[in-house]
Amino acid sequence: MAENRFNQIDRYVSGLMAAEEVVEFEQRMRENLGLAEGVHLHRDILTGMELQFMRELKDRLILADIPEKKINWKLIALIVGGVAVLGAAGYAIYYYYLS
Amino acid sequence: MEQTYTEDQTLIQRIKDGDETSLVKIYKEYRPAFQQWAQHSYRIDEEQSADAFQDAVVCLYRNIVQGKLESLTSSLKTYLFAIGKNVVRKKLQQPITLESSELGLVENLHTDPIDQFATNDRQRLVARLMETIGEPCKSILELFYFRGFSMEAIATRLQYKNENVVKTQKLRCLTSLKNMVRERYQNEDFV
Repeated sequence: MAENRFNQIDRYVSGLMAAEEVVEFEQRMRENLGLAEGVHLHRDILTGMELQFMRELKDRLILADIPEKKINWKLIALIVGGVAVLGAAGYAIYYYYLS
Repeated sequence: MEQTYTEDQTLIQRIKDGDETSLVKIYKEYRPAFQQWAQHSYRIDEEQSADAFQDAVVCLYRNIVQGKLESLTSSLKTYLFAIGKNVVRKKLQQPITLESSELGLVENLHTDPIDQFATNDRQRLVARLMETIGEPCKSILELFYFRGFSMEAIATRLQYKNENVVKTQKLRCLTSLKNMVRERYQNEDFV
């Protein structure tokens, strides 16, 4: 079965064609303007996609610069400890007056 | 020295295998030194040097995944700085004069700043459309064309039945993208 045009263009633009096939394909491009435009469009699509993926990778690098917000366990322990001490003191006072 | 070379090669292999944390590690490790050097050598500010370094790391990534950096003849840091030097000079539009040792290193490598990558409006339009294309198209196209994954690897990663399903899906995605480009390119004003 003959390979479809899309795959041929994709292999040509991606540099996956054998040398002899490239010569034959380029000859067809010279004779067929529609094919030449198809190749041009495919190239632009791959370049545009790559541009966007590059931008997104750059954004992820920039994000890596932002320090992660770490949980301040020390502060949490201090608050929990404080609440526990206050609670215990309150209970002790309550118990003292009750008895 | 030997250990550093091995470590660099390991990092490159990990990046090729899709581990982005290794790239982030390189980025964080060499950023301060690069920025200091670039600010001193080219009289640029902190923001400009950071921007150039981020572009250089992206270029390094592309060189690695596209197989342009298979085996190192120098340290990864030297490659990265040589790429970064080119990026800064291209951004500042200064003629590129590299030392002979650097010339050999970056001769066949990508060193273009991101903002100079597109050469026409249609490419910039495609970049914009990629923001709206959605899943699974975005992941498939990124893994295949940008990260250099095989169809088989994509099928495994995205949990497709086999590589033929991925091939068909990729074809659908590209066809849809082409149609969007054709439609918008005719409608939009690019003057």
